[in-house]
Amino acid sequence: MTEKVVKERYTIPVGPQHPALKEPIFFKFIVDGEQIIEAIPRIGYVHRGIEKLTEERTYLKDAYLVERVCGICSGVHQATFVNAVESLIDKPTPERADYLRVLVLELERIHSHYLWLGVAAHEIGFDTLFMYTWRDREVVMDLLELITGNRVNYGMNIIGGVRRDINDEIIHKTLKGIDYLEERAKYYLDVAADEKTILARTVGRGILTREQALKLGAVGPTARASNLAMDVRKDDPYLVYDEIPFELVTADTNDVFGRIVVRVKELFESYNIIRWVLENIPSGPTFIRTSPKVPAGEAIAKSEAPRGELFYYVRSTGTLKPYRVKIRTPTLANILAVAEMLKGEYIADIPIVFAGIDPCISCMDRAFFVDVEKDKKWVWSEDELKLYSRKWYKTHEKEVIQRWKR
Amino acid sequence: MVANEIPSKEEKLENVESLLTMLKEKFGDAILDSKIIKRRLFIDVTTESFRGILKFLDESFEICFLHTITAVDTTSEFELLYHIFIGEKKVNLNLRIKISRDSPKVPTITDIMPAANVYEREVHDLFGIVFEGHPHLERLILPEDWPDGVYPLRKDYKMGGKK
Repeated sequence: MTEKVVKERYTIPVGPQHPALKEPIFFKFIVDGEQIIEAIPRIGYVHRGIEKLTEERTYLKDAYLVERVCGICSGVHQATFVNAVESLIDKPTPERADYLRVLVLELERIHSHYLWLGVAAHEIGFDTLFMYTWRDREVVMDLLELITGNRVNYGMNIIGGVRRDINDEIIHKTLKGIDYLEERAKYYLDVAADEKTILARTVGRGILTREQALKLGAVGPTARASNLAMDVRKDDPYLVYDEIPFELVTADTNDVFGRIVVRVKELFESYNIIRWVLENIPSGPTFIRTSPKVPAGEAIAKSEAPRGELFYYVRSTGTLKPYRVKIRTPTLANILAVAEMLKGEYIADIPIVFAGIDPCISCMDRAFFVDVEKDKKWVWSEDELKLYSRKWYKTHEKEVIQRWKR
Repeated sequence: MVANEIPSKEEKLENVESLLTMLKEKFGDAILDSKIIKRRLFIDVTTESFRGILKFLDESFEICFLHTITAVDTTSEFELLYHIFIGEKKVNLNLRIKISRDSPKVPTITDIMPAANVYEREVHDLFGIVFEGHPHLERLILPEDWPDGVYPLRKDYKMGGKK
């Protein structure tokens, strides 16, 4: 037999529709057999022109508008925008308001990390863990509702402070909820470290070295899992983060497994921050009245959102409406990094590697396979792709275990 | 591991000032104006020199992180702000350049900071500023059927598509 092995290169467009997660994205994958040679992202499918909209509305309305940028980390968007506007007004907000903001931001981080843990477990076919984490997430969602009045889009911040106060009953309930969640997080840390399914699918997948993370501007847990100690809460403390004692969690495994460990360990830090805040919260008013007109100038506000650094630039010309608002979300900063991570991975690893950055967008809904040579086309749904990925891993079990042992 | 002690407010201001002196010594005439607003450093520089400054910063510091690039339409010209974070000094630095509104062109910085790739494409999409030398300056955010030559974040674009 003189059969010549012809290596064919395929182009696989993946996305943009995805019914399971928020926000669609499109990836063009150039593959060689099972391996990805290149991943080219295309975004903008849910671009709603919010930056333009903010220029047409008053600062007060904008505070509620920017919250709609993201459905999961809505609170941090509002807090960051309000921070930027307040630094233009230059009237210090009451201390109690800053503490309450930290409380909501950290609860939001817990809810987001639990959500992500569930999604990541689901992507690798570990649906029991998905059910567990999403059940526990309800505890923190209830706490957020108790404190802010809403489960999502909290509307907690106003320019000059916060809208609602807490009392002893809320403090008691929050501490009880935090105790329960801490017990659960300990269990998840054990699961992540010992469970074979997780190890086999995440160790060594989606490698992003420290140098690459630096070069491509990765942020948040994605950067920290590549041993890049960057966290706005430490680097450029906002609110009262410069007073709060907490550890910066990093990992040096550079892979998806590291990203799981970093997020679970960050949960413990968040629990401690919340305990500290509730213990040390000063009494006093929760907001001050400010003029609806904002003095001319420009301001920058940065926050550590659950997914990484969130960046706001606000320019005012002294009117009721901002002249320009610029928003840079963490997922945009991580897009180049994830395209790099996907290089050299198998098609079956797309879901978990992409989920590894905790994208606010996901694209695994529909893979459109085009065989360039034979001009054959077929469409895969998200479920079929996941099924395929699980089947592939079953048939390639030995190979995977070998790879893992290495 | 990078040391993670939070610098005090005085230390921070010192860091900001020392960075400014360093840049002034090195680049002198290229720095048109500088101001410190709440521990953030804003520097106006000439269009010819900003690449050199960014290159110098990138080579001098290990963590020279590009937050993003902001474009502002002042109706007479475009301002471009390069928001940089210097990890070692924990300083936020903003380089501002001004470019003509009639032929908005500026050299790319993707060769110095690859992270600028998406940010430059975003600005190109929404403001129509051409980054010369960008590897693929294609549409990133606006839909495929968006008309050419219409840039929604320019001030002469009114909501609802009215020019």
